[in-house]
Amino acid sequence: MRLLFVISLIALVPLGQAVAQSSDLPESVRALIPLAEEEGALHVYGATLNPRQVRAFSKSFNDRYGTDIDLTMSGGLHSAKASEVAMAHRAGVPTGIDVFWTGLISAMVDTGALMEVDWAGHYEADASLTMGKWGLRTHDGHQSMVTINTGRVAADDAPKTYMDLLDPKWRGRIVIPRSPYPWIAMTYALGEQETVELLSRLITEQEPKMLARYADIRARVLSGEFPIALGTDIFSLKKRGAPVDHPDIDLLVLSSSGAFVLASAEHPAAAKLWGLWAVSPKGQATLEEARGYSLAETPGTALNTYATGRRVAHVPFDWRLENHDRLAEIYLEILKRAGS
Amino acid sequence: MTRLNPLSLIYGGALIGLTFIVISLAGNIVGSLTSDTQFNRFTLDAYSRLLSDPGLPATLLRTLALGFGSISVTLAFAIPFAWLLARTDFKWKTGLFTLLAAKLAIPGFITAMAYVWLFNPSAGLVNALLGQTNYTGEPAFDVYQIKWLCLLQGLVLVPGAAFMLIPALRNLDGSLEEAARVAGVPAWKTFRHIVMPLLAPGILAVGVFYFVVAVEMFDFVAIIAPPGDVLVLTIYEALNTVDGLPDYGLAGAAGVLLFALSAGAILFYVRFLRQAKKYAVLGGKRRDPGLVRLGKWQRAASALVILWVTLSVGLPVVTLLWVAVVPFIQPPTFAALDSVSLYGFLDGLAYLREPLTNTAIVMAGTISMALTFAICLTWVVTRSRSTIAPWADALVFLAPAVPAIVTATAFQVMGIAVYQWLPLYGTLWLIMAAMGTRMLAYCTRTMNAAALQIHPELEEAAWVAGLSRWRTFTGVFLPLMAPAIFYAALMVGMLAARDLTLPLIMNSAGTPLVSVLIFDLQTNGETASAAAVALYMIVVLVLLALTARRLTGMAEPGLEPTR
Repeated sequence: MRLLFVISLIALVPLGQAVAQSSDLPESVRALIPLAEEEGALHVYGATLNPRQVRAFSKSFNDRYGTDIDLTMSGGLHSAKASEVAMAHRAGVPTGIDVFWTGLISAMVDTGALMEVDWAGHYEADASLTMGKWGLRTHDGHQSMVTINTGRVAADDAPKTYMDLLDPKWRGRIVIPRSPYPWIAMTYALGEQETVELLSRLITEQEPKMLARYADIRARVLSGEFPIALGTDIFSLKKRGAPVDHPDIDLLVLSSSGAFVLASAEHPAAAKLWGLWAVSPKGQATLEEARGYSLAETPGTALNTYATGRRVAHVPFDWRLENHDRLAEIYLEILKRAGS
Repeated sequence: MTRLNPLSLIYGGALIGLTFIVISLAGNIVGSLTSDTQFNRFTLDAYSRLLSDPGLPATLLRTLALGFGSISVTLAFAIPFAWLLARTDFKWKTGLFTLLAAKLAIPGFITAMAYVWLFNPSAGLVNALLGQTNYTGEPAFDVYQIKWLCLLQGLVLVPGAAFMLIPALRNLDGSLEEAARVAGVPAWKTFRHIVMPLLAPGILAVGVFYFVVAVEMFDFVAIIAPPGDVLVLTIYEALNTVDGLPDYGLAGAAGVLLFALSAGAILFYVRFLRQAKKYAVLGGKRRDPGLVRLGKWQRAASALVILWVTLSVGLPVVTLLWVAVVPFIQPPTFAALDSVSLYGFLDGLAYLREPLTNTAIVMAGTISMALTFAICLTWVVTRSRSTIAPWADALVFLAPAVPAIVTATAFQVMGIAVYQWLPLYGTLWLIMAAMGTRMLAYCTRTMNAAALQIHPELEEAAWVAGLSRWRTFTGVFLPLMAPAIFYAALMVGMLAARDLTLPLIMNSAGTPLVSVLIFDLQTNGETASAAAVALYMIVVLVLLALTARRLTGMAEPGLEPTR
C-alpha cells in the first residue's frame, strides 16, 4: 500500500510541475496551452541544431507548459528559405513551418507571410522585446565581435578598439567573413563614415583572409592559423576549453533575432507559446546551454557577462530594415576590392 | 483498343528526364531575367550589373584556369586508373576500387581543411616543420593559390572520372590490341595509338563534363579562398544576401556565363557524336579483351596509385580520424593528445539511425530515377535517328553548370506551382527528383560513351532474327550496357548520400539526412561528432559499393587480378 502511495506521488510530480509552471502565466498565454496541445506539433525553422539540442529544446518547452508537443527544428540558408516561404504564401501552399526564427525577414514582410502578433499587449511579453508588428526578440546576434586565439595573442596585446585592428602588426593575421553583415550592424554604432574608413583600410592595408562561411572562420581562429577573427562568437567553444576568447573591446554591437509566426502556420498556438518560452528564464537558459544564444539583458549568460560594464549598441530592428539594402551594397563593393 | 508501343516508354522516359533538365535550366535563365524582387517582370538589369563589373574579365579567366587545371589533374590520374582496373593484371585492383569508392564518400570540406592545416602559409604543419612560414619570412608552401585549388578539385574528381571511363575501356575490342601485340608493338605504344584514340569520345565526354563540374564546385573555393573571385563565388554571394530576397538575377546571369564557358566544349562534343560510328568497337565479332600483363610496370602503377591515395584519401581520412577524437578542431600536437577521447564516435552513433534510413531511401530513389531517365535518353541519343537527339544530349550536358542552389530553388518553385495537382513540395520525392536531374548528365556521359562503342550491327542482327525492337532493347542493348549502368549507379548513389546543398535548401521537417546531420554538427562546433558520422558514412558506403560489385558480378572479368 505504501509502495502504491509512493508510486502515485512520483506519477503526480510532472503534473504538479506543469501546474506550478503554468500557473504563473498570464491568462491569455494559458488559453493557448489547450489549443497547442490539440495542434500537437510544431516546426521551428532557423537554427541548425543537432538531435541532442532539439531534445533539450523540446523538453524545456514542454516542461514549461506541461504539454507533449512534438517539436521539430531545422535550419539552412535563411534568405533563400524566406524567399521560398514568401512564394509559397502567395501561392497558398503550406510550407510546414510555424515559426521562422531569424533576424532576416524583409522578404516575408513584403508578401504578408508573417502573422501580426501583439506579443506585449495581448500576451504580456516585455515590450522592449517586440520586433515590429510580428516578432519577439529571443537572442542578440553578435556577428561584429572580435575573437582571438589565446595561444597566439596575449590578452594585453589584443585589440582594445576596432581601430586597433588596423595596427600593422596584424597585417595578414585577421580572418573575416565575405559578408557585409557585421559592417551594417557596426554602422549603427560607429557611423557610416567611420565604418567605411575602417573596412576600407582593413581591406587595403591589412589584407585579411576572407571566407564565405562563418563555421570556417571559427575553425581557422581555433586552429591558430589566424590569431584574430571578426564576425563570429565563441562562447560555447570557450566553455568547452577551446583556446579562444573575445578580447576586451570597448564596444559591443548587437543585432537581434527573434521568433516570427508565419501567417500560414498550421500550429499557431504552439508557435506563439514557443516564442514566449524562448524569452522566459527557462527558455533563455536552454538557448544558452544548447546553442550559446541569449538576450544581452538575461542575467548570468555569457553574453550578459561580457556586455556588463561595456558600451553596448543595440541595432534597432526598424533601422536595420530601413538601411540594410543600401549599406549592403556599399560594403560589398569595398569587400570586392580585396585581391582584385 | 490500341496497344501501347513499348518503345514509347523509352521515349516517354527520355521526355520526362528532359523536362526535369529544362526545369533546372529554365530556373537559371528565368532567374537571370528577373529583377531583385519581381518574378513576373523581365529585365536585363542583372546582365548589365554583371557585365559592367570591371573585375569580370579577371574572374572569367580565373574560372577558366580553375576548370582546365582541375580536369588536367583529374584526367592524369583517371585515365591510367580506369585502364589499370579494366584492362590490366594490376595487383591491387580491389584495393584501388575500394579507395576510389571511399574517396567519393569523403566530404569535400574535410579534404580542403586537411590541406589548409598542412600547407597554410602562417601555421601550416609542413611549413612549420620546415621553419618557413610567413612569420619567419617566405613560406615554403602557400595553399591559398589557384594552382592548389586545381590540384585539390582535380584529385577529388578522379573516382567519378575513372568510373565513367571503365565501361568504355571494358567494351574495347581486344582483337585490336592483340593484333598490335602480335605485330610486336610495345604495350605503351598500343595504349597511345590504339586505346587512347578509340577512347576519344569517352575521354572528351569526361573532360567536358568535369570542366563544367569543376567551375561549379563550391566547397574548395569556400575554404581555400584564393585571392580574387571565381564565378561560383559571385553566385554564392548573390544568393546569400544579408536580408531580403536573394539576388536571383545576378546569380542567374552568372550561371548563364557558366553555360557560355561550357558551351564551346559541349558543341565540340556534339560534333564528335556525329561521327559516332568511327568509335563503335563492340561488334558481333568482338573478342574478349583479355588482360594486359604489366610485368615490371606493376611498380610504376602502384607508385601512381599510392601517390593519389596519399594525397586524396590518406590525408583527409587521417584528418577525419583526428578531428573525431579531439573536442574541437586543432592541429595535432603532443598537448592535444591529452584531450583525445572516443566521445565523438559514441555521440555520432546515437544520432545515426533515422538519418541513415532516410539517406538510404534518397539513394535508392535517386538511383532509380536517374538511371531510368538516363537509359532512355542514352538509347534515344545513340540509337534513334532523330536530328534533335544530339541537341537533347547537349541540353543534358548543360545541367551540371546550373549551380546546385539554383536547381534546388527551381524545383522548389516548380513544387509550389504544381502543388494543387501534385503535392510533392516539402517531400523527399522532390529532393530525389532534383538530385536525379543533377546526376542525369553524369549517367548519360557514362552510358553514351559505352553505347557508342556497341555497334548497331548487334541490334540489327537481333531484328533480322525476328526479335522486336523492345526485346532487342531489353535483351541486347541493356545487357551490353550493364557495366556502364553499374558504375553510373555507384556514382549516383555515392553522390546522393553525400550531397548537402539540395537537402539543405529543400529540407522537409522530420526527414533528416546524414549529410545534413554532419552539417548541423559541424555548424554547432561539434566537429568530433561530425567527423565520426562522416567516418561511419564512409564505411557504410564502401561496404555497399563492394557488396554491389560482388552481387552484380562487376568484379569480372577486368576487375580481378589474373593468376
